[in-house]
Amino acid sequence: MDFAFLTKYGGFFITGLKFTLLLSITSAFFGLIIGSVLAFMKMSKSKILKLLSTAYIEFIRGTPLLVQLYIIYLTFPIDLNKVNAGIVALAINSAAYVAEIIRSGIEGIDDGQMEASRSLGMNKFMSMRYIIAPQGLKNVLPVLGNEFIAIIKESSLISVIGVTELMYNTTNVRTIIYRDVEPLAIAALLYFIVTFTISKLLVRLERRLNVSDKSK
Amino acid sequence: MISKKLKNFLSLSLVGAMMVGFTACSSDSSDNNGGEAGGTSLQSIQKKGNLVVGLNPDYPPFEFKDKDQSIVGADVEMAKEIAKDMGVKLEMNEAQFASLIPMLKAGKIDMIISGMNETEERKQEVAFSDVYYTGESVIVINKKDSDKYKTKENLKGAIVGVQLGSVPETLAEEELTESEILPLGIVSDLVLQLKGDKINAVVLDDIVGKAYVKNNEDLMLIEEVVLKSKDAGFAIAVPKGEDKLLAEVNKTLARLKEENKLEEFLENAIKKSEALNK
Repeated sequence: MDFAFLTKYGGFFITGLKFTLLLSITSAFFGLIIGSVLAFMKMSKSKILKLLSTAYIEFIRGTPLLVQLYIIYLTFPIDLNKVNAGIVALAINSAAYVAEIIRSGIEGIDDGQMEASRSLGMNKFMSMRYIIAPQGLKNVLPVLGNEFIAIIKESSLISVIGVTELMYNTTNVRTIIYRDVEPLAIAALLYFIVTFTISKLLVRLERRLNVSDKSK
Repeated sequence: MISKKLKNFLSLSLVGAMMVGFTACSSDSSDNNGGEAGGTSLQSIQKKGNLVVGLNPDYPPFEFKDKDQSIVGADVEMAKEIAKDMGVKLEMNEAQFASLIPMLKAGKIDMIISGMNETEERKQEVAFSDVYYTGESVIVINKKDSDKYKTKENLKGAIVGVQLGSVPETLAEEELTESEILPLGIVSDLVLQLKGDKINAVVLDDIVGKAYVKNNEDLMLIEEVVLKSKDAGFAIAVPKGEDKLLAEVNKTLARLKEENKLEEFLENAIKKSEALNK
């Protein structure tokens, strides 16, 4: 293997990494917001909200991201540029998964917690905000972390519409230097560094949150 | 019990309705884009002052990226001339090859100049200019197979890779009828598979094939075999029904052919891509 090409084409990987991070961080942020709304819609008493949320989740989870991306980029009446189309597609897609993660976290909290906090005079919102949600969120943090890592890897699909993210730029380099294994190895290494760092950070965060758990 | 069934039915039908809504809305807007047609007509290009050319810069020397990550190549030089003749600025919009025609139909780009081969299937979706490049195709194999594959006949039963929708694909299908043809989207994926012995040979445009052989010690050409096309070649794709736009493009192409500019562009681009590899 010969990595001398990096002196000339290192910039391709840096630009690529920037766009990959831009795509995944922004869409994870919006995905978390939309997903939370969907989760509470699904848990609400209103049948209409419940139905809407279930339909959204089932439809998005049941169709490939690639199809969603093409529909959003090519047929939406609003003229989205490529990067925005990519972010919208990833956020919409991720929201469906996040909604189910958050719902499972909140439903995993024992009913008695809600009853106890209500009997202490908290209203429903306060009980949710101060008692249920913090515990639920803590429980699903590892799964949310997995979802974020999945977004980072799935963002490589946005390359089909020509966003210069890591995989797209890697292909550019492969075609210029007429070699494949080395650029692909670099791309894999960069993805790994990012996802590994995130999973380590999440473990730390979990540990810190667990300190308050029990005085063992 | 009944109410549960009813609920299930309701939620299912709602999902169905959403899907119908989704597709209906999508077909609506694509109609709009096609119907507007103003989006890509010659007049509207001149009005907005820029020509948006779609291309996939993974195909040196026709289109590729230089060190500064800007798109260069023979097709780009040609695009510059077309924009100049129209009196507008050139803007490039890159994407993977397979996305280009959908983007053209959705009005995201005004034309495709990306080493695109004119095929019957594509002609049903877009209109093509005059052919501006007809190359020969060569067969690339692993050097260690040099004794095994010496002629076309040797490739009987072999797996031969081609780029989806390329001139070599058409040629391979016509001439290598005894081989198993495997079309893939990206040329470098083909070469990767060849080196990994997943496929036995790759048919490529001669310029592209020669460049790969030059840069990979373990690859070689089957020297005796050159596939030549009668009419297939690269052409510029524009939306259907834009006759004025097509005429303008053909006018520029004719001028460039007359001035022998096309060969010059190609030679310069080859030099440029070779320099990048040093």
